[in-house]
Amino acid sequence: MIRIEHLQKRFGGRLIFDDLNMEIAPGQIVGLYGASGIGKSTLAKLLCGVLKPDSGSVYLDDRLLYSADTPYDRKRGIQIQMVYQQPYSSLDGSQKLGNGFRELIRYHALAPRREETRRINDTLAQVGLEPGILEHLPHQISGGEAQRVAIARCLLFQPRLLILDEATSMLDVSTQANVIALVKRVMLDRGGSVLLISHDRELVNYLCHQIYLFDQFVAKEKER
Amino acid sequence: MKQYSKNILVALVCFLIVIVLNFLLPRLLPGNPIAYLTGFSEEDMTVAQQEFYENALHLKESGFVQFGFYLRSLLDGTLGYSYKKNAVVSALILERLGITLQITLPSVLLSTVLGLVWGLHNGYQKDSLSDRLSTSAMIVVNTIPTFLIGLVLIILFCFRVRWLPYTGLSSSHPGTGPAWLLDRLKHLFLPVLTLTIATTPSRYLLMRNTASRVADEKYILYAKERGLSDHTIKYHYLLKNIAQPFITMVGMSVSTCVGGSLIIENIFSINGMGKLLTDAVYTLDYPLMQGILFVTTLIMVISIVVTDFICIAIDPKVRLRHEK
Amino acid sequence: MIEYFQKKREGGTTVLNYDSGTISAKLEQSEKELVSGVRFSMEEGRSLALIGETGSGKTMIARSIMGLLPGNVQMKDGKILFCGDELTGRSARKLLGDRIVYIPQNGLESLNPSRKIRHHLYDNLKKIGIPRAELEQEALSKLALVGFPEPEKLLDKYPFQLSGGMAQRVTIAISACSRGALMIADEPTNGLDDGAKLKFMELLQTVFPHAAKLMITHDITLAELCDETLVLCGGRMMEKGPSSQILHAPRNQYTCALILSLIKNGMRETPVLHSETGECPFFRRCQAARPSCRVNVEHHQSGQREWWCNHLI
Repeated sequence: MIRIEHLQKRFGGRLIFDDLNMEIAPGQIVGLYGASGIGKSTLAKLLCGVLKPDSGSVYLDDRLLYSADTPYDRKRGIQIQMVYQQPYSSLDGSQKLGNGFRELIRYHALAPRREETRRINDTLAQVGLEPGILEHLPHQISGGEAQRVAIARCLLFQPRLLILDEATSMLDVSTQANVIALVKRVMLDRGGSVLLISHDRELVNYLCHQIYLFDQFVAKEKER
Repeated sequence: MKQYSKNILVALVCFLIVIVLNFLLPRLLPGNPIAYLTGFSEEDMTVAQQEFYENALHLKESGFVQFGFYLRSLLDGTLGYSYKKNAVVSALILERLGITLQITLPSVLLSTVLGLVWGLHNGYQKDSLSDRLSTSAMIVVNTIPTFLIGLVLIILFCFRVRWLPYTGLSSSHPGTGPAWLLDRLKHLFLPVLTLTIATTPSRYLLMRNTASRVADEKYILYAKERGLSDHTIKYHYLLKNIAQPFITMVGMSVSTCVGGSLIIENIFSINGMGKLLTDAVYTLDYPLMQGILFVTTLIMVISIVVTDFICIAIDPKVRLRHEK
Repeated sequence: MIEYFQKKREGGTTVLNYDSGTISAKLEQSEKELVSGVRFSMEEGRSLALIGETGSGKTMIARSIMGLLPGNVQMKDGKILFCGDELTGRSARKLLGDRIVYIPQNGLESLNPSRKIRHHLYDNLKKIGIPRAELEQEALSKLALVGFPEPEKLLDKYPFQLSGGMAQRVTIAISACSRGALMIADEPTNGLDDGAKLKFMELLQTVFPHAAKLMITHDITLAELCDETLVLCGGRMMEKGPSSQILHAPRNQYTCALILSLIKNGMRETPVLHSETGECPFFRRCQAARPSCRVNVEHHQSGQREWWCNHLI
């Protein structure tokens, strides 16, 4: 489904990755494992179209999504969504959660006005949250709930690939188990895929169908 | 070093622009520049007087020569000549400067210290009783106009009880030595108090608000968790991280010290810089006005540059980046 | 050389007697109970892990010991005894940094960005009365104690020049500038792998061999390294006792669920099963919940263990 070929990225003069190749098949959890701070998040940002590669290309369903010479195809790129490490970082602290959802739906024209509420409630139900949570401000909900909200917002776009960038490292064990089970349910059962970026070896070994080890600027496929 | 030199360069350029404008404006405005440069209008002058002034002001010469004379007047310290008062501008300024400084410098010092200590304390203990009372009071005082503060103090201290004088800086027979000092202090007390009351609230509020925002940071909590005293936390943990806006504010106010407070000098009948400027405006004494403008601008530019330096110097991140 | 540790006081080696009473937070329109009825004691040299999810009240318990509860949170009917003396907010403030030390969760965020490491250490050394002339030497020895090979180079650095791991070790060095009898560590092993966790516990043992160590964590592998464990849920005690017994043969349903949610046990999830809440804080998500759990929770005791659960295993 996603194919990354010969991807290279530099920041200023610093090389982040060089000739990176990866494949993510549908219905799979692919792990990207490596030490903290070496560039795994950079790859995630690249896949979402936040950063531009210096060379190489990314294919979605065998069609070019992105390359050094071609701009990011935003229409199709919206099928790739990301959940971050800090549960509250993607939530606007001054707005009620409901406003954030409505804003997204309207901006991307995801549903007609009269369908808005139903769409939001359906998505919340998928992540196991009650509609009442929409009236809360971000600081009033727990970290686990905030990650569920973040996942729900990604689900609005019905993504084919969900990137978890250390998304459970700030959560306690039982919340982590619940969030991972949720992600598996909403993504894999529909033929979508997950890219799990983590420095937790145990987690990656347990969950992933395929593991890439990020080391020396390249991702190498690892034996499980 | 690059960062420093950029600041100095910008300051110099600003300063040069002011000087050039100062020179150009009277000569570019409609009408005869004589009027702007002396204050006397053409109709009031005889032809002979006009000739005299035109020569004295070098109006017949080319623009560059005139600019040269202008620059010379700036550099040799005369700052031009006031025809209305028949004196060199810089002499007039120096006469009054000391008087103004006796009022403005103590006020700036007092209001800064008060605002800093009290604001820091209440920002740290935010929402305590002391904080709520003080901050509300300061907000109210901030809105009271300076002249009202001055007049109320005069009524209280000069008329209700006859403790203090309300005009000038000295009585007619002040005596010598300690008696003179006491007399001077009595005269200074109310003007300084008025200016202090008028300027403390803004300093207090700035310090209190920045402190209260930072008081929730993790490193302040950790300092408490290490059992450090409130005094250590306030002055070694909180203050340095919030100093910059406060220093900038103080720097700005230092530059207004020279200009003096028109209102205070008016109410207390003091012959300071403020009065000098007022007189110059009323009598259309342009050379004097320009001279005062030059001095004020110079001090302001210097204080801004110095303040910027200090702010850069106390920030370890910036300092270390430059040392690399 | 300073005396790190108090010798045994009369009456035993109990360092801390904790009874939370009820700790509740005053919110805009209501009062929320955060902790209720948590009791434990700690002895010299022993370690206790306070396990619970976020929101289980463990941070509030630590804050209540240190006398640093947030403004809108109050403790009612609680009693805390430190080495036999009652601990109030004011006495805690004097003891903090001296007999009671705290290691924060995130070292980098907890250090003052505009203060050198040297002065961070000096602040606490001065608090315990080290004379000016000896400050530098003591500071260097503390940094060496936590494993920095060239402590002189570290003294004049600022926190932003350190990595996360180095900053964390600096906070341990700061806590070593004390005569700590009680050490409280807040989520100290977030993000560390098993090898690093073991090293961390060994470091703590080196720095505080005789202190009572209270570990606040949600990490069960860390709890296994401690002598005793107290499992919290919704601010109430679920299970308490020696770690080896509790974590390998749990009697409380919540403890079981926590252990099953570990990766090595299959990451079993605990979804919400019932719509109402009950007397037992785990009622909503408990698979073995029965109607009686809604009303009361039975207390059991066996040897050194205690647990609160209606379901008998």
